[in-house]
Amino acid sequence: MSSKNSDFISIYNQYNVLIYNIALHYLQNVEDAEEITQDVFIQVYQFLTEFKSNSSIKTWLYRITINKSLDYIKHKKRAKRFFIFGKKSENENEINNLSNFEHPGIAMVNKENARILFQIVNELTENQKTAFILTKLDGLSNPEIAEIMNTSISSVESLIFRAKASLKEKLSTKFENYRKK
Amino acid sequence: MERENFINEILNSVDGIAKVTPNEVLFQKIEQRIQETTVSPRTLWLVAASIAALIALNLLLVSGKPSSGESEMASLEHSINKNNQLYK
Repeated sequence: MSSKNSDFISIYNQYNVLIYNIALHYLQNVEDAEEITQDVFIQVYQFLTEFKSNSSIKTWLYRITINKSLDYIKHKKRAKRFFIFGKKSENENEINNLSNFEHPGIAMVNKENARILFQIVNELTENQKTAFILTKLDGLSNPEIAEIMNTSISSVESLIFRAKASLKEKLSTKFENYRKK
Repeated sequence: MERENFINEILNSVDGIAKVTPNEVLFQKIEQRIQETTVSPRTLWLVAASIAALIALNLLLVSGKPSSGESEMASLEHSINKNNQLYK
């Protein structure tokens, strides 16, 4: 077995759970998360020999996964827009299923509240969403998040603060709407 | 107070979120996709050899074939020399 292949298998064994869960946090769908995980590891395989250890491999993997997840979300939004305003897609069910919430890591008792939370998290800007996911769901420290996002620690603190403020504001509006019903 | 409780309940709904292990067949799918995108050295050599053979064949045809103008002239010369008659 070539050293590239054995390195790749070692990386897969070490990081497949990490990458899969990051994708789940962004996409909240098992099938989509599997697709992204595959895409990430294929890119890892293709660029493994060129990877320069300026940052750690874990940081590199985080960045690839986050970028691929965000690109996938943009692609989904474009597809949905086309469906709404254009000809109906041949696979209407596929488009509808894209918005189905599914995160196996969340306990059943919390599922409905988590669905509401993710619905609002998905409305945050990309950077706020990333900062929130990495701190709240992945439990990373601000310096770790700053390295992944290639920004300063103070920027990360600001992003988290604004994300939480935005979430609270939207949840407050939701609360008012529920009360009116 | 009720509003605060609602907001906190939602924000804390992901506390203790569990790590999920992906499907066991995922690695096989990844291996398969890698194989599909990777070109084997044997295939590369076959393609290179085919192109080289095509080029060689074309060069051979181009260098061996006389020009049409020359062949027409040669045939005209031949017929004139045969009977020295331009007009029948």
